[in-house]
Amino acid sequence: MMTVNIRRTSIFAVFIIFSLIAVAQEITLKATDRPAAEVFRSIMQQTDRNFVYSSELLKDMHITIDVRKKPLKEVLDYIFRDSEIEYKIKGKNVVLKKKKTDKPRKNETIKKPVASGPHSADSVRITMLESVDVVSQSENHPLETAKLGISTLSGADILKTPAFLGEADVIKALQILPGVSEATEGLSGINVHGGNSDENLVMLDNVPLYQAEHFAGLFSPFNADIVRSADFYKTSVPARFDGRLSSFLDVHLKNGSRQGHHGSAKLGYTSGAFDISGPIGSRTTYLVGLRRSWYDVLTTPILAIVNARKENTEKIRFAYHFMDFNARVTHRFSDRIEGFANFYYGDDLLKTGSKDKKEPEVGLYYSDKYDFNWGNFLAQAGMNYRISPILTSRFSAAYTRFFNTMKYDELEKEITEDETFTTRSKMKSTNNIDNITLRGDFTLSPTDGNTFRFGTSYGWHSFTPDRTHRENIFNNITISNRDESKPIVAHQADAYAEDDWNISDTWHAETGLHASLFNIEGKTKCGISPRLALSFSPIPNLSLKGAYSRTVQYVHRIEETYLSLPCDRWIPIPGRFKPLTADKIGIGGYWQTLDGAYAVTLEGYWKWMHNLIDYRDEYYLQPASWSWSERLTSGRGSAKGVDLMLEKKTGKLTGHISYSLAWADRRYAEKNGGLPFPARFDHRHTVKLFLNWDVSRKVSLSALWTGHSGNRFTFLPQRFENPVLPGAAPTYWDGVIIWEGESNLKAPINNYRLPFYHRLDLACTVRNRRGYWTFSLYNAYCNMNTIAITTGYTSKTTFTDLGNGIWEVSSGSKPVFQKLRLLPIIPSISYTWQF
Amino acid sequence: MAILRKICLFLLPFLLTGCFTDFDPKIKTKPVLCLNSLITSGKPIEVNVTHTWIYTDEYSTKYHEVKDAEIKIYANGDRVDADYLPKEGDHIRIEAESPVYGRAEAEVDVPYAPTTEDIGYTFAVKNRKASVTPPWGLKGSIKFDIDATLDMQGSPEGNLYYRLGYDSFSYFDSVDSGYYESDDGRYEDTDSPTSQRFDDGYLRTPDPIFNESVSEFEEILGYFPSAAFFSDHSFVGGCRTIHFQFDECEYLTENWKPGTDLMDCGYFITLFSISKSYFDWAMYYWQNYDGILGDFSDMGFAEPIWGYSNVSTGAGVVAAQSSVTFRIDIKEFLNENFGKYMDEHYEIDSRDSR
Repeated sequence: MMTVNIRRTSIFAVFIIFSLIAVAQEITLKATDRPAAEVFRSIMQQTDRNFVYSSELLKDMHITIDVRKKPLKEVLDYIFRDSEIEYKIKGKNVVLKKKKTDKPRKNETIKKPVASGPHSADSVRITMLESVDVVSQSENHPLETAKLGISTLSGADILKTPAFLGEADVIKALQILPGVSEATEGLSGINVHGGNSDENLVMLDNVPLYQAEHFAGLFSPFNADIVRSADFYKTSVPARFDGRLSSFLDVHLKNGSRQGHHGSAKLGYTSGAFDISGPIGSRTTYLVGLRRSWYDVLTTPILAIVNARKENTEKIRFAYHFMDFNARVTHRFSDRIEGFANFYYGDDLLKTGSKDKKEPEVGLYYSDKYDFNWGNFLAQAGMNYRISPILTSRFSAAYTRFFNTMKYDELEKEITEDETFTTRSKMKSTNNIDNITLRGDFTLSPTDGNTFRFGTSYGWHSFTPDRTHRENIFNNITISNRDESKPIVAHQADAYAEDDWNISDTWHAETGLHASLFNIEGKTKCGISPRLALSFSPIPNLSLKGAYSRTVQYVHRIEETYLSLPCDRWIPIPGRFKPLTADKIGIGGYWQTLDGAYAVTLEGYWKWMHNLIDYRDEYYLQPASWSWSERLTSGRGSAKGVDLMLEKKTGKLTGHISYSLAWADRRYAEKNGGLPFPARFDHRHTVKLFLNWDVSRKVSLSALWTGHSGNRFTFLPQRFENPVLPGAAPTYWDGVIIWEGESNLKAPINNYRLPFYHRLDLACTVRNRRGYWTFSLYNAYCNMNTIAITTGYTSKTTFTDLGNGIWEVSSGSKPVFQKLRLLPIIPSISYTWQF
Repeated sequence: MAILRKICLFLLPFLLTGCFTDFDPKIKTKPVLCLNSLITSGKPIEVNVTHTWIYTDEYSTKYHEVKDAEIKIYANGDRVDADYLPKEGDHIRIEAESPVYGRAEAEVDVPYAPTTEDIGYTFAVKNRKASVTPPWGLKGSIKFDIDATLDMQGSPEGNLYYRLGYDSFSYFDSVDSGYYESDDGRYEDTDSPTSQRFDDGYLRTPDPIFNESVSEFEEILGYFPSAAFFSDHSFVGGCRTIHFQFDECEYLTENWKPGTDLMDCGYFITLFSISKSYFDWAMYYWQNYDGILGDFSDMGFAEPIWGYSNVSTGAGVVAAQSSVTFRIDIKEFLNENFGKYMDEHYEIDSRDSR
């Protein structure tokens, strides 16, 4: 009986869903000789479709149209009828291209009187220039690719995601996808399908960045306002990418506008941002973006006032900022050659310290300075060259530098009448990676259904994992430890080939191979990474897929804490270790309704990771200055699971709900006594619900609810008595031990699962004529989630019956376990002015 | 605006919610034996046998001694009695078994005493003062630092571990008692018959070799070790001069008269060779109680740290040490730099008073 009821309920639910799907999207539009871009923007707002096109394609195109409640397809047919532009609806995108059959015509003006009929419009006037091929995000549409586990986020998608502290963030936008979990609440690190957070390659226009975080990981290094799109691969990885085990994120910046100078300025809770783009002449465009935190704008004058006060005998020094600066220039040399140059600089700078205002004639003088500075620098130049109609190429050269510097200078002077005694401690520690990469990529499209890509690259890497100079002066005696270690130089050569082949209307295959050589310290390590993805579409709106990929990683990050701190080190694979590799298989399917309004994605995966490197048990017993490779151990891991996602892609209310069932574990030779243990982010069940509701043209609301099984945690419930070892021993007072101390007894790693994690984030965007306000609430119902189990004391009152109705009341404290709960509700606000 | 106020009042309790919530993890634990022992060459072996307890067990926090355990001690494979005096180079094995808490065992090698032959030291005068203060007469003080060095020879394997300890002393040749203090906090205080006093300075270890346990990040955040442990890892097979300093030493006197005898005072510097287990415990102790890792793990931003142990149950430490002691004499320095200074002031003051 119960079974029958469930079946009926299911049938009813399916009926409801299909009834909803059946509602067609209708458009009402009235425009007289308006720029095409404006008209498309209006259509986008009504349908939530993106228009993907080259800005050159629509230059000087004006549209006159008047339609009421007409389907999208009918409206588009009407607009592009008899024009040289063809459109194709691919999922959420409407891709505009110049018709291939037509020969290009220069500056041709088409005036087409439009017959009366369903539309009462008068005319469509289109002025054409030569088009440049558009690399549209729709190439990754699940129905049109054999790849599994890929996502493309547009800049608009990123801005829609509820933002922590009002900072829209590319990497945090990925956290709403199934199979992707945040490494630590509030921070921008991600764990993808059971992988560690350093196993994700973050690239800016195909150039890798290290330490892709600001402010201990609170923000990613990308200014979301100038991001055009972000391609994210977690299962099927194109052969052109390698170097990390778990995922690849390629962030693309917007191209400079060819239609006047446009930009935006934003002031948010933590930072301000500004960007502007436009043409320089007829062939060149530029884009400049700057984002910077602004707290030091407040703290600097406040400190100046505090320091100026006469009663203060010392000057305090404190400043913190993070910033990123992007610049992009493109220049069209001819219809076949386009050059580009990208520049990125992002850093965090923290300065603290103090100094006495005056050096006394006799007495003590003290000053100290502490500086932290870490970030990335990137410069890239290249060109896209269309060798022939079927062969295009891209050549680029890039220099990147990851830098991380910590230094301090502590000075103490004891000035007597006869002499000055100086005590000074200076330290400078650096962790740098310099890369020079030269690469050439080619795309051959011999037929409509076959695209063959191949390419090669050479990389020169210089690693300075840790170089520390120390100088201590005491009583004018100098002892210095100057670290003369030279950078570790590595050479890397990569080559790949991949083929994207529509075998038939129903079968689609993407195959590839990436080969790499990594030469370091006289040893050459080799990596072969085959890739295969196969899809079968029995009906046009269904695609069944299977994929295999192998990835190789030569550089990894060692981190002692869950935060992204300057003490984290990026290091190449140490001599005795092998490159990290992962083999992953995935099967799944994608189905969408015929109009693309609803979609279901199902993906199962199994991943085996080899030669993983982590800190070994009790690594901290080895002094920090000893060789870092001796603190590490090698092992393996596996991850498996299923991701299910239901999406509503069109209409005023869009969003998705996803469920993930997952397992992730690790096993290292010298960790947990060699026994396997679950990974920290072994989230058995994860549910994510993301909704975006365009209430009106001016107001939109979005909500994100996340719930998942708690993180795994190493819970150490037992204690033992500390030994009495002088120098590292109990505390004495008056010769009597007053605190013996106790220590945690060892227990299996990640032996305890923290309570279920859940939170709701809300955001509201209110547009006006000049820009938009963004209001957001992080953790809207203030469920402070548990991030750790710790210990403490709670007050205790004891009642003792002394007889005759007399009670003795005594109070004290008793030891208790406590949940450490972190982030409460956090509201934020920002305003973006667009021009 | 009224609704705004209500919203604020509604949100305030959430914002002020404490970050810590008491809870019962409902986890079962099994207590095990814990062995602690510091074996010193030439001294009888003492073993402290206790048991582990769950953190919330108030009774066991105070009372965790195990009285029914049978303890066996082996030296170089042979079982020895409780009065056995371990020698340098001995391999000691301790076994304990309790009917309730099971069995535990641990092994350690008693290290050889350091081969360092002598200590070098110099003095740096910081400040001298003399004044006539009735009724104490001529009163004076000298402040100074002592810079000391030890020449160390590194082992070929780089596996020797050391601890620097010290005791200060001050006494008159004719008087047995005086002011005595050790770094462990034991002291005996007797008034000096001539109102003289030696205030020993504190040990400073600016030599980077003592900071090996401190990462650059900790260093920059002001984390410094409070104890003087080091190893020969950084001078394998070579020589290394270790620098350390006694800062802010002070000698004070009242009612000075020419010919006043100064106290014998100074330091006993003890250089201990320690077992790896001792060194490892010190490293753990530093990380957990003083290092940044301990702080981060307390905050939940790093893996929790468990106590180091070389006992089979994971509880307790069996360590060993041997030592050599050096003496730093200050009296001669005081005679030259303070006695004469006070004599000169006595003459000046006497002349002025005439």
